[in-house]
Amino acid sequence: MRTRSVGNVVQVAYALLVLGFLFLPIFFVVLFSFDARGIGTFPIEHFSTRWYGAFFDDPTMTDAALNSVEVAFATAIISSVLGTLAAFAFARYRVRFAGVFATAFVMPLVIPALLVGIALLSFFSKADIQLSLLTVIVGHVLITLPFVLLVVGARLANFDRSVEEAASTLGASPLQRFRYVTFPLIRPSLLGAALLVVAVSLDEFVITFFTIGGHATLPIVIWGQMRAGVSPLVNVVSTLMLAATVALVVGVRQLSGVRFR
Amino acid sequence: MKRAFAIRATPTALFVGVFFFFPVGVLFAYSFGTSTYLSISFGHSLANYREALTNSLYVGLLVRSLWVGALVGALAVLISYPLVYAITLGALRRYGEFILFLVIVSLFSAYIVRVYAWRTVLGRNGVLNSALSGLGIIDHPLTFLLYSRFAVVVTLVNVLIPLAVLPLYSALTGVDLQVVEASGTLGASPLQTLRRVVLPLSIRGVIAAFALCFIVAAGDYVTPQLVGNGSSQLLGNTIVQWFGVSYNWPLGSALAFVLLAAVGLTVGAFVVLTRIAGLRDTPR
Repeated sequence: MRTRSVGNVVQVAYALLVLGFLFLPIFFVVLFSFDARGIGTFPIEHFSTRWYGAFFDDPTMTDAALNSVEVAFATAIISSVLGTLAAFAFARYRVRFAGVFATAFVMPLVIPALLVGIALLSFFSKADIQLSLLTVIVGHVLITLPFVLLVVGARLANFDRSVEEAASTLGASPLQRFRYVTFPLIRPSLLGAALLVVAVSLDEFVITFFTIGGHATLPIVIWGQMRAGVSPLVNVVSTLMLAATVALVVGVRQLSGVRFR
Repeated sequence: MKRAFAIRATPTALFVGVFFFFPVGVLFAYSFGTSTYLSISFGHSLANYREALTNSLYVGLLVRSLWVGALVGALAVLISYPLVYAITLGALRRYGEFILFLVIVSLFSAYIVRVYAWRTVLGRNGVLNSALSGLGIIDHPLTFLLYSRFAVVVTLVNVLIPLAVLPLYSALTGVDLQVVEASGTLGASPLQTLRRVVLPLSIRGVIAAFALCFIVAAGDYVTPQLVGNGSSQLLGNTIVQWFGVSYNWPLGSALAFVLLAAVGLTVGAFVVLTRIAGLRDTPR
């Protein structure tokens, strides 16, 4: 009994240690974003929100934030539609080469992101397509599709199809059946998947770097500022992005019933 | 059946085909091409691959990328495994979902923000140095912390732990607690139980966790650029350079495919190694 409780203490201490390792660095960034001096060192003498004011007064920052949001929403819509269609294909129709397609669709997430970035850059340049937010969205859709496939696919895997049959028996057209029966049932998962896509897209840097040309999203701004030296605004941008991530992940959990397994 | 599948899968297949497989093909075509100051052309020369595989600069960078990737992957798995064990089979079972949720939040937090955070911690006037000097342990700030290979490895391990936790969690939740207890009842020591029961049953998770972390770390260019120094740059940094200021896409893409092949081979070798070590989840 005694060794067991010692073992328990060790496990708890270890878990706290790892969680501390994961979260302490981020915690300091959040803390420093409220430091009035803005130099990011201890001791912090005065707390203030002046850097947040500076962030919203800086058009470079607000433009980048708007770009990030624009890209994230467009990515979420395209990725959700394409991913859900494919998820239906995989869940409902067993064909011989389905596995090949499933593997092909997750490939962009499995190979190093650097390769996806330079491949898109080569392709856009060869095809004479100007780099813009649109080309960024293309890259983001590629790496977020697997998330939609996973979340919506999991929902469809334990979908009670007898309710669909009932709808048909009662005279619903295929379109009505989808509109009033199938769609409402998968809506929470779909929304959860879309939020996950938004979270990934907002934070994506590696591929964006190659596909954005002269524009900027928030991660690109952080990259630029970090290379230029320390700017107190980076702490603010980071904190805002972290807050968005937390809100989105909480939303995913509430909505989709995804238990992240 | 086939028609219904095709109707639903085609839009996605087209998208992934046009914007992923075709671009990768273009990149591959470039790797046999040549580059002059102003233009890049396709070709059929193996010169870029010869350069990538014989120039000691690139070979050195490749070896370092694989080595750093393997080290980071191994550390991430070694650190994550006990945590995941505690929240699935151990003392923290009841808090498993909550702790996993925290890890997920960390996973989806921006990669670049987490790298930036380590600059705040490890810098000359960073958190760690001020803490150590505040405690009177050091007189002068430690300068090896940031802009070093140490910083690159620590940062990558930190960033990738959540990626290791996920597959380990799904593997270890699949291990029946009664089986673990039975092993103990039958006289196995905890270490024997781990080696002979739990580890083999969760080996798929270990392989997936290591592979994911290894692939990301070995192919990274962001972390070495932001917290590393000259001697901790990876092959990815060179590839980025050839695609940016230096403008030699053919050589850059040849290096990228060499990296991809080497990463794939290493993952394959790791799978074989676990087999040789007798770690498999089904009896032979």
